Amino acid sequence: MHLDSLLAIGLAGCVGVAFVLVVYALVAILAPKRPNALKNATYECGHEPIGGPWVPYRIQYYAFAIIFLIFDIETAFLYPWAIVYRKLGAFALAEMAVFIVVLVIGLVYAWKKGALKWA
Amino acid sequence: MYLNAWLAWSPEIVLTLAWAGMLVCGALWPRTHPYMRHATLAALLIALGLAGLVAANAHSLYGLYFSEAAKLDSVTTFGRLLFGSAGVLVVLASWDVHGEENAVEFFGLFVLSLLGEVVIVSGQNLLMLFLGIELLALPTYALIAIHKTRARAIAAGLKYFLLGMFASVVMLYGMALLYGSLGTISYVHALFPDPSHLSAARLGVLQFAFFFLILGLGFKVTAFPFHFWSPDVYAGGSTQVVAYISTVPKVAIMLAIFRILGPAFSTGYPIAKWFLIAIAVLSMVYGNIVALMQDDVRRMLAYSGVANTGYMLIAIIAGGADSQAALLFFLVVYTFGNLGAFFVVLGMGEDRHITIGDFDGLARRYPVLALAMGCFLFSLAGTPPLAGFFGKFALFKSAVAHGLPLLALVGLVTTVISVGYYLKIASNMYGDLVQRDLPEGRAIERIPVPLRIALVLAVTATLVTGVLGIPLFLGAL
Repeated sequence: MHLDSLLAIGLAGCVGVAFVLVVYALVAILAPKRPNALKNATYECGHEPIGGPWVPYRIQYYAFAIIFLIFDIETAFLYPWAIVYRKLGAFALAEMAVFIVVLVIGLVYAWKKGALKWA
Repeated sequence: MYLNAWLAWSPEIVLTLAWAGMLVCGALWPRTHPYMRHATLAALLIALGLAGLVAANAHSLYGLYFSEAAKLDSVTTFGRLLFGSAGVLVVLASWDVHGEENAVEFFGLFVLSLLGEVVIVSGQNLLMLFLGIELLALPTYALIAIHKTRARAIAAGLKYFLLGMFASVVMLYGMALLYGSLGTISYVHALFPDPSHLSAARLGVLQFAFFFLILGLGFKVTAFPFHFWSPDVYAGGSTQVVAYISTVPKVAIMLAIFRILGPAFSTGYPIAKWFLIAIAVLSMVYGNIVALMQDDVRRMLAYSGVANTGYMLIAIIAGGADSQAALLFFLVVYTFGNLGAFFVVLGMGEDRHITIGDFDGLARRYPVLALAMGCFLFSLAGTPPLAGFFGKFALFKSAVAHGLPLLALVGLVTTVISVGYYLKIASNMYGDLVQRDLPEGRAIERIPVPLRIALVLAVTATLVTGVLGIPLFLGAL
């Protein structure tokens, strides 16, 4: 039947898993290990580390990131729209207006709910 | 052309405008918060009316829209009307429960998820299906955890969110594989071509794609191996939200599964079909047996939901027009039966787990509530005079008619098992009418009037569908 195709997929999976295991094993065997305090310290872009990275972050980072993402996508969407705008005419304008109005509603809501306040 | 599209999709436009209006008004003027429920109810009723009008003008409005991305047909109308009516019941049940603080979020997210369900049902390609499922699921994750002070609700919401996103990703992977092997995402015509026209390699990939797609969709409808989140989420979330997510989203995704797989099963995909049959059988057996052992009523209803998913899958496996009719009928029965049962639990108190013992002697103290609960339970169990009997009868009959008598037999046997746990509650409610000096169950605070209306409407719907089921039953004899 089509067992040979399933075999191919299974083989690909096995090779994929085996490759990762082999690489990790090679690293464990070959790499020299001479740890010291400086090497084990947290990497902070070359600065002296102030503390560990496992500290609770402010939840606001998350809210800001989401709002940033929305406008990121809007920009990404506006570029291709601007290119085909002349070809599509009034229809494209109306479509983009709907899209931006929906985004603005979300922004108004987030703003009024205090999502943009760093408090 | 454009005017037709505006008219055809007017119910969704009304709901979208209502959502936008509620969000802006709620954010700008906190004084409007107590009126969010009125706005939602009004928007839902208008949308229901418009959906009815659209259905009345089916000959000019039904068809494909938006570059064949969405289809308006009788199934879409069925979905609109069922989701709208269930939505009205949920809004009534939530009338007094949600304080002014969360009103905008609760009703706004609720309307969004209803829109997602219409996208799922009307969608004609995998992209629309995925967008619809996300539009449905993201609000429900937040709705489960809407009570920010309740630790159990937060835990349930987080669990639902993480597992739900995982299922979505798996499903998306399946869709990508499908697109890779078929070169199309549209299921306007049958998505799966005749297997004899496909090379062996493509068929292999297709079966993997099918597996992942069913895994993702199975998670959303709580089919057996992918059901594990539902008891915890149902027990942790607020009851009216759980009533909603245990019924309407499941119905929407079942309808979408039927749209995608109905044609595939008429052409025959042997391995894929056995995979689905295994899921259906395991859901029925496991759901019903584990439900027998539950003490928490919401957990019991969660497992009963797993079992009911198995019954629904019977119709999808059988395929064909008669199975579709059976599925649609069963979905109505399940929606109102399950909504009603959860509403009774909501009426008994929101603050802690409601156990089967809490129903002790309910019939003597609150005869009407007990009668309503009995009506929902016997409908879910499938006892003859009520709607559930005709629903299950039609499902099993369609299975037999399509050469799957064993599947019907499993359904029949597990239905008998299910009577055990439904009857346990009923016997607790009515036990002390025959035998005195049984322990008192829990006292109930006054049930708010809107919830009473919702209960009456749910009972009416269960009885009316039961009466409508009689001709279906007689016609089959």
